[in-house]
Amino acid sequence: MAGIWRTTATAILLVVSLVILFDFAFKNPALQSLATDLSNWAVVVGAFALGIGAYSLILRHGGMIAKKRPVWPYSLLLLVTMFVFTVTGLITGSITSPQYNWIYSTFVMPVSSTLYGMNAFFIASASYRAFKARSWEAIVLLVSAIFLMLKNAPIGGVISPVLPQIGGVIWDFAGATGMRALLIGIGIGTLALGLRVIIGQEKTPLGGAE
Amino acid sequence: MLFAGKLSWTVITLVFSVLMFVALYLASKKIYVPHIREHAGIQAITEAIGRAAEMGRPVSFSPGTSSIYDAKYAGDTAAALRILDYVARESIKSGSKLIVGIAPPTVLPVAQAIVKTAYTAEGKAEEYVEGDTVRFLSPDQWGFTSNYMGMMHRERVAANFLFGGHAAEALILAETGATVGAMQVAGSTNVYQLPMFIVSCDYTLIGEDQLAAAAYLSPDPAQKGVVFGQDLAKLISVALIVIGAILATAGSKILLTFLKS
Repeated sequence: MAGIWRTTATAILLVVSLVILFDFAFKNPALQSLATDLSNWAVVVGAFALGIGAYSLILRHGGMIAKKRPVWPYSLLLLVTMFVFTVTGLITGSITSPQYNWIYSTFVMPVSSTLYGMNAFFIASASYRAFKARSWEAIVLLVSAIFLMLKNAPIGGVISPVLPQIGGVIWDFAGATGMRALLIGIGIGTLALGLRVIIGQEKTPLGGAE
Repeated sequence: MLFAGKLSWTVITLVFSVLMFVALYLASKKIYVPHIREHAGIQAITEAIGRAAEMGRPVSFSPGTSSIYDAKYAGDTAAALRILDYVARESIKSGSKLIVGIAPPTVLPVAQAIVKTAYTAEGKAEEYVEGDTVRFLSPDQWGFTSNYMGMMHRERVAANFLFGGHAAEALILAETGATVGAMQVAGSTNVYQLPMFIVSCDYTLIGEDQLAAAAYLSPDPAQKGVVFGQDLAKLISVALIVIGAILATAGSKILLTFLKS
């Protein structure tokens, strides 16, 4: 049974992939319409997956509340919030309604912004560890970082106009070329992975190897 | 009929694909099985799981925040799921508790199936806990981040794996892992997040290394053939760059015209 399922899934994957791929290169209205339909189906399947996610959350956090685990009040808060958001969305009929927006901008947005802002502090702690000159590679990283910081910070140009230029050379030549080489490798690697998935060599996206 | 500007893309994709198929065929028939060098980052995955088992602490895994049909990072997600399969099997063998944190709902059923299959295959199906081994944290980027951070602190994970498509949360997750003293292995094709992983994690699979990890991890020779085909495609790309530079210096725009066609 598992064999039939896997063969069917691989066949569907092959056909869908070829339709999307050909639609990218060839001008054909029928192909374009089919590719659009398939992309829309993916969105619908994604919406069903959200239901599975909600079920998984209720299962886990409901269990934590029932067993009075140490962090059960947080689980309760999560489930209540989930319920409030769902009910508000259903009653107002839109996720752009003023009520829904109020809850989002009052509670979710500030917390999200705070978390995003924490990046600044984490960059400082990560830089401190990375820039310790323990090896030749770390020394190269440290020196390059100093020149790049002096390129971007106004003080670099004030000390000497040469400093931002050195930073510019590091950024334009070493940085850009390295990044482009990386992007070429990623493009070819993605193509190879795509081919492996399409022909069924890579089985994990279908739910695991035998 | 081809779209304007897609001729070179079609030709290059076809040539590279044929090259990879030929290498795959030669390797699968054992006519030519290439030797792939050992990758320190991939070996570190096993080392980190072993360390977690010795310390009696859990292993955490994130397959990223990109969905399985994301236009840009679907490849990352697919590669992360392959690595998850390996991590799950190694964790089960070593007796470490595995916790998988999921953000995109589309990845959840696939990750559940992978981990469940791994537990069943290793004869420990009863150790897989529904809703707990593979946890759906939040589809929201920052909801997922705070959840994953909290999980790492509460469970005091000894090994943390961050693969797949990660965005601005990459550094926060990796730094939290470093704070709790976890050995961390990460991978990404996002060139803006790679530096974050490199400075915060013990090992990082850079770009295509993550995508080729499946081939490194697989005992199947056909998989190694694809990596060889990939290297040949890279050699052609380098040759095109050199030829293009020489032709442009000589005043010829023939290659540039082809690439724009």
